[in-house]
Amino acid sequence: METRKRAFLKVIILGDSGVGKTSLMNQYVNRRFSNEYKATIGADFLTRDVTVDNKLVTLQIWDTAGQERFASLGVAFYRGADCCVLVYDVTAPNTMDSLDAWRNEFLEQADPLHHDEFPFVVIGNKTDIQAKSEKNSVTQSWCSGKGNVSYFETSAKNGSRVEEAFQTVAQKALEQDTELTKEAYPSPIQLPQDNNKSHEGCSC
Amino acid sequence: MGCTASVQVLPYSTIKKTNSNQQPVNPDDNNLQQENQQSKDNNVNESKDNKVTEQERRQREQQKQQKKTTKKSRSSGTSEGGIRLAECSMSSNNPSLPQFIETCVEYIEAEGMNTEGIYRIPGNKAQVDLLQNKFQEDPNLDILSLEIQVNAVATVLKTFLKESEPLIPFSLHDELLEAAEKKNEEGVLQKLHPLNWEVLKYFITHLNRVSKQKENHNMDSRNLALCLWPTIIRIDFSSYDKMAQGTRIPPEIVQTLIDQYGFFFHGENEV
Repeated sequence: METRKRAFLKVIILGDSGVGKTSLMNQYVNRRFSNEYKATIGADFLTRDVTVDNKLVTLQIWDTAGQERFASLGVAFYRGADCCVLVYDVTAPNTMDSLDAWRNEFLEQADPLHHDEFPFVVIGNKTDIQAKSEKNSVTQSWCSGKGNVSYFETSAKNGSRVEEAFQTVAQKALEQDTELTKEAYPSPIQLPQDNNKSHEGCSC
Repeated sequence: MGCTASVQVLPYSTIKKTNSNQQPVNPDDNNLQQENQQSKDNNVNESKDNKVTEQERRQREQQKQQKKTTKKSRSSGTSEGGIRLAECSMSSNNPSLPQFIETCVEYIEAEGMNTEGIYRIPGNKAQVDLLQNKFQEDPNLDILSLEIQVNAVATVLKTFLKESEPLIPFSLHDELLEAAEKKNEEGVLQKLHPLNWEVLKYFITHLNRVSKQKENHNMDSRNLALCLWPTIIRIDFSSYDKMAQGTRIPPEIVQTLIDQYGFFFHGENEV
């Protein structure tokens, strides 16, 4: 019997404008790609159910407008996130340089319990434009220097590796969620069974 | 020499926000979180108290407070303070237009009309910093000589407009939003200080010219409005809910201004 409620995992997508955050989310959730060039208005989320370790979990994926348009809302957006996806554009090295800033922004605003262990997934998007046989080594070393960070190169346009990337996101989010729950409820207090208690009469 | 006074704009750090009518972001003020999320947060706090010593906790609080203060002092869009437009050195072509704005706009129109996502894609941070420093020395500078990407110029201009006094003062926001419902923004624009009106006119007219070349850079008036409305109508949302409700009208207003720039700013008929 499933005793726990289905896990509800919150995922935030961050990165510079135009790197493909909305497109990635749409490809993952709706398996659709639009060629329309459209800036994101504020922040919105889509959800998708996914199975991780034989458990059905619900991913709530928050897409945000890039470029600090709503910097003051960081706390409200980020709070309670279980995993953060940092997206850059493999055809624009500039956007890779921003990963640090976005990661710091997230950690500062969301302020998770253990900064160094908080799960991030870095996605280099737009491999359909610039496909390489090997993954970007600069990004890879950035990721390995940051602790709990996985790295994928995807194309939101043709769908390449999008599914795998978000499967990892779901996995990490679930681990984070489980970890938090464990820390919050260290061990259940065992109440001794009091068999001798008299149930007769009142206690006054 | 047209411009002797140095422009008192930029960089972020020198700008002092003075007023205090700013609403601090109250994390408790939002209903964004699902119930289980909220309980998770509470639990996190509890276990934090258990795990971290009092001293560590205090240290962390202090650091956080410091970060918040620094962040606030450079964060944009929430203060009526900032550089006064009237204090900038003005263009020799237009005494109501800061030279700095003209320099950026002319450069963007000359170099940026084939740049995909102009005003959307942010500029390289190092180039943005460099340009801001150079502008402090000379608002009339020749950007071309610096070999700077046009996106960085757009970012510097956006940053300036977000950190100077707002083009549309906060006191007119409610009125403008109401007027927009009745398609009657014009009356509110008439209430702007003449200098703000001139700058807004110049900037919106520029954005209209940009939007006309959307085939080259994908930034139609809708996209420009989406990326620039928080710069032009600097509403300070104190919670996610307020933002969710409040982000429909402002981009529509800015798009209308761009599309109908002739009507609003040049006495032409509405098209």
